[in-house]
Amino acid sequence: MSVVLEVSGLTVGYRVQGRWWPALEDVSWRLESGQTVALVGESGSGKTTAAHAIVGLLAHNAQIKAGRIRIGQRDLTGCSERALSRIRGWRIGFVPQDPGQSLNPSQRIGRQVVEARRLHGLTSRGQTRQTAIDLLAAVGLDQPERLVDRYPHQLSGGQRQRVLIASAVSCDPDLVVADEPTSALDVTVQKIVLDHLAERSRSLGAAVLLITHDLGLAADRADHVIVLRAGRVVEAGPSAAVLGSPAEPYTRQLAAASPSLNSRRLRPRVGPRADSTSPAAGPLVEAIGLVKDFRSQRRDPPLRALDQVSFTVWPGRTTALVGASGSGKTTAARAVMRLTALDAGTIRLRGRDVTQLPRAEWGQFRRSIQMIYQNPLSSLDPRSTVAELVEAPLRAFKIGQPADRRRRVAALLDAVALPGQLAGWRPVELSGGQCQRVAIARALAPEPAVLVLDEPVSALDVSVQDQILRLLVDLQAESGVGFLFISHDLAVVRQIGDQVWVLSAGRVVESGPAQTVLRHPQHPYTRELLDAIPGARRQVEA
Amino acid sequence: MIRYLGARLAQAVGVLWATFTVTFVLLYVLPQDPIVTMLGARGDSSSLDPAQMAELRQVFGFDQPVPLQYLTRLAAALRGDFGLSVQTRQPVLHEIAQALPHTLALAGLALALALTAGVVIATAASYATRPWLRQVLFALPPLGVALPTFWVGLTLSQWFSFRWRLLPAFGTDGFRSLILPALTLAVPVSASLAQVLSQSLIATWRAPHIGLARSKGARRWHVLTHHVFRNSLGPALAVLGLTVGNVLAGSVVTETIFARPGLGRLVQLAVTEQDIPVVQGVAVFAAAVFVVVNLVVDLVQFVVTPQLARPGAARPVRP
Amino acid sequence: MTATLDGLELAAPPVQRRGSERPVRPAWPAPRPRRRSARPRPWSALAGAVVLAVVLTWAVAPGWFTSWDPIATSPKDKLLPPGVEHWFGTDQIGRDVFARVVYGSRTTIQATVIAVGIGLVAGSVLGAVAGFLGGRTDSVVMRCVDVLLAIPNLLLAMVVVTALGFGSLNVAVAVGLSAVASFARVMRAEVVRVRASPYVEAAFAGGERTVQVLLRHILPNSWGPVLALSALEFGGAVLAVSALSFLGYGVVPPDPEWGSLIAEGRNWLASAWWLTTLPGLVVVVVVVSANHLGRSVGRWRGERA
Repeated sequence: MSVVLEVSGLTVGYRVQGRWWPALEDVSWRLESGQTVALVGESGSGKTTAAHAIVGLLAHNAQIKAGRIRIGQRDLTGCSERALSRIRGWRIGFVPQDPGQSLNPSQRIGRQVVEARRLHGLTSRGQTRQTAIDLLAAVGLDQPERLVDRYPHQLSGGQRQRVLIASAVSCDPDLVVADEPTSALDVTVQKIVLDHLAERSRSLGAAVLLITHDLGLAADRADHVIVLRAGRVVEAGPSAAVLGSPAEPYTRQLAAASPSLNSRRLRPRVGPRADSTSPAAGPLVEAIGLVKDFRSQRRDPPLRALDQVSFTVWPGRTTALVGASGSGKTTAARAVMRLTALDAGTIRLRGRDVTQLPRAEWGQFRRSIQMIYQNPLSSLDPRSTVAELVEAPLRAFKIGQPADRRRRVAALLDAVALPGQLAGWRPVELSGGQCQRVAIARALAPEPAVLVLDEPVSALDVSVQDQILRLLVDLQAESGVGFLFISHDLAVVRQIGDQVWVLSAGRVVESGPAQTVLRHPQHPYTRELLDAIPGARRQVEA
Repeated sequence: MIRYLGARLAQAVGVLWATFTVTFVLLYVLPQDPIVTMLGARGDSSSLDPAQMAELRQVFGFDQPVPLQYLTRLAAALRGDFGLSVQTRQPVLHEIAQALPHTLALAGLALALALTAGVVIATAASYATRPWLRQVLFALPPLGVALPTFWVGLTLSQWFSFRWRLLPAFGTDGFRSLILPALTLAVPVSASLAQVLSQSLIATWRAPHIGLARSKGARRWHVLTHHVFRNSLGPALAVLGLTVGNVLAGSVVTETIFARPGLGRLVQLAVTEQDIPVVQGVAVFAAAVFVVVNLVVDLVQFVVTPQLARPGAARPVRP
Repeated sequence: MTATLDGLELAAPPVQRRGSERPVRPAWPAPRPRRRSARPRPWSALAGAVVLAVVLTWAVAPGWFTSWDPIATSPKDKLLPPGVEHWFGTDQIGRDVFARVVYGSRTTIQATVIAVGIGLVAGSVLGAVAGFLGGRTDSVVMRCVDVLLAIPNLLLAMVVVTALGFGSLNVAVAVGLSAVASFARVMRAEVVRVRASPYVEAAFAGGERTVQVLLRHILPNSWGPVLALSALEFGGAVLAVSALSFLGYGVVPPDPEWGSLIAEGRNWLASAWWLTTLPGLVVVVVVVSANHLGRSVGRWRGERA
């Protein structure tokens, strides 16, 4: 086997406001033809910088300080711009992160797929169309002869990503660099896209460098894994060895935190947790027959986002609503919060119908149900300090005197494990995990009975994700609050859900205790979702 | 598509009607006595001949109640009749028609110059790699926007006409007399256009699909011509209506400085002489130009931005 | 004016899409220095602020900057070129041009401040009401704003001057009214953006009342771009005020004003270049400073968001 890519001693940094921030330090690895190597790490580990250095897309303020990137016999770091542009696209194919914005919005798909071949003189103008159709067909897209004349906005996310793969391999490259190729896609689509990437590169004999934050995905797809942390290689080797029995503590920690590699339900560290399946108290929230239609235009037929959806939340328990994007799970959460008006259906909170609540009881209702958002930074007012944010609901619900409130804020920050000196900081100065902790403290401040969590960890790094999930489990055990947990990620639901409702296209397709639904799924859609979780292969082995 | 066009047309007519109404209220209702205003007596009616005033009142229809005046004038305006100019006693439309060719020649040349300069400067600024060159090119549009049109005109004529005696400072004597006014008018217009376009070009250069095109092996020039330029045109097109409006407004100052006849000169004199019908006529005319340009721009947007062509798509971005 | 405004709008961060169920990518890049750690402020923006401060002081206390009388004539000193004695030279009846520029700033800057004030207050209120209430109020207000935009600013100001009569105060009102539309648009866009943001929803969920949310969250997070626009519009208003004065709708002679100063110098273009060139340069420097400050504020706010 020949060496396709050899990176040795690569050191890259960014110059930000006159200061030097190293992103990669002395990183080396090699990639042989036909091999798939995964570069894994959390955000800030330098994995994307590595990909960009190889394909020559480094930002203008980035600089390669030392090291070599050798493609075949050629060292890219010493090449002129002109020489580089001859290698790019021809020897190296690149699959970018975000399919939504990576295609030229005003150019037809066909031209974009063949662009690399045209640039490198491999296809004449007359052959463009036919070549495009062949390339699209090769990544399994239906009706390629129609797709070539479409514009990117007329394609779905999964289709766009396959178009990008077709374009990346169009010149029969030695190396395909895929930078988080599926993290913007639904799990089921993810699987299809990755299958096609693997299939195409195998049939062309190209090596694949897969950049990902998902260890399960790396375990599934790569022969070798390189774990990066803060710009340095922590551990490297065959993926089964590295992820199965990690030698380094950091890798071990990362593997333990990765939901796709971890199927067990998290247990609270403190407090007893009644394990009986039938809680003593009655249900907290009962949603019965929810219906919601969206109308984009007056004359268009309405889009049914929720169709007779019913579910229940119990005190001290977690009810999980699971589904792909567009399944209606977020609409359901917003309906429970009374942020969306319903077309039909009833929502009861402790037996009281909240869809027809007199104005006088609104305050009480708002107090007993609180929400956590997907993107913690945007759910916090950028002008407020942490203390102000957590105090706001206390003040709004007129809870306690100012001195009491200050004590309560301190206690809440302590409960979510935020150091007290952060009280005067503003959201932009905090990390993602810290922001989400602030949001949790704020939601718990008025002592609600129900917490609605809309994808609370999907914007966070795996290790932070794990910390937040553990925190939520502990807080639930302490306060007995009921969770309505919205997620697209069955791996996460496996860790925190007690009851699971699976939604598809606005309907509940399956529901029941988490153990039953996730271990013995009845509905084909649930099975499809479960199969699509990366890392599944490894689990079968283990 | 047809439905969208219909809605846009209705909106355009609405804007014109509203412009007429706003100018009617401002010019005919707000002043205590428009006749006194028009005769330039500044609210002092004692010096005016009562018989003359009564006659004027009747000629201009001010003896009618305001709602009736409004309806009469609106009905007349629909036929293109904005009344008689106070100074010349000619129909306003006739005055506008007489002035228009001069302004069209000036505005046409100025617009051509402005579009060329604006597009070249903005494109060069976003394409340049040398930091100092980028800085200089990016500093040009903000500087151009800050130059007072009247000062540019005076300074140009000072050097080119009085110092070097290259070009005439006044008049409508052939193409040579058009150069300085057109340059004067083109400076602010090209600068504002270049500002919008360069912002848009910068944003497009940073778009992920540009990075992808580079990763396919495309050189920068190819990326500019095949990917960046077309995707950056939208915002610049969207302000084209305002740009044409700027040209019309700029012609007021330019034609005054270079003593050229035209729409701008017409309205400048009309304001000085408080010639209300002419002022209103030109204002509605300017709004009509704006509305028509925007309709055309909308159609062009459909061609440039394919995302908009799908049914039920959002309206194109308005300035 | 409007063109610079559009530049600002483009520079503003894109509107957050709400209700998107797609998982968000981890968004915390590694080196995120705390903002409090001394971030260098752009010196050029500071220079712009200094220029504006100096000109504002001119307007308030012109006597501090020149000992010459802006009105008194001195025929023997007529049409002197710029020198140590007369920085900007003298005019056709021997008045010091620099003194006339300094004293003229009183009229020009006063009119500009009034104009921007009218635009800012009326525009922000209209925009905030339209953006916050939405629905029918929004469309009615914004259609009115569309009409104001359809007439070119200078022409609209001329219509208003025709209705109100000549004089520097009327010019100020006219320029202010023609600036209302841009303020209303920017304010509305910001209020709509902030109102749709998750933290406003979170504030409602946290039990805060509508008025509280408006005052504590929406307005404080919306006024940044409007502030930036005020600086941009200040530059635009200086240009508009002096253009209207240049056309002869402003002050009554012999009071100095920037636009009318330049207009007076027209007759000596061939012989006394300083009469038009130097006052014009002052206008340019002021407008450039105001625009630059406005853009810097806009960019700075954009980075914070």
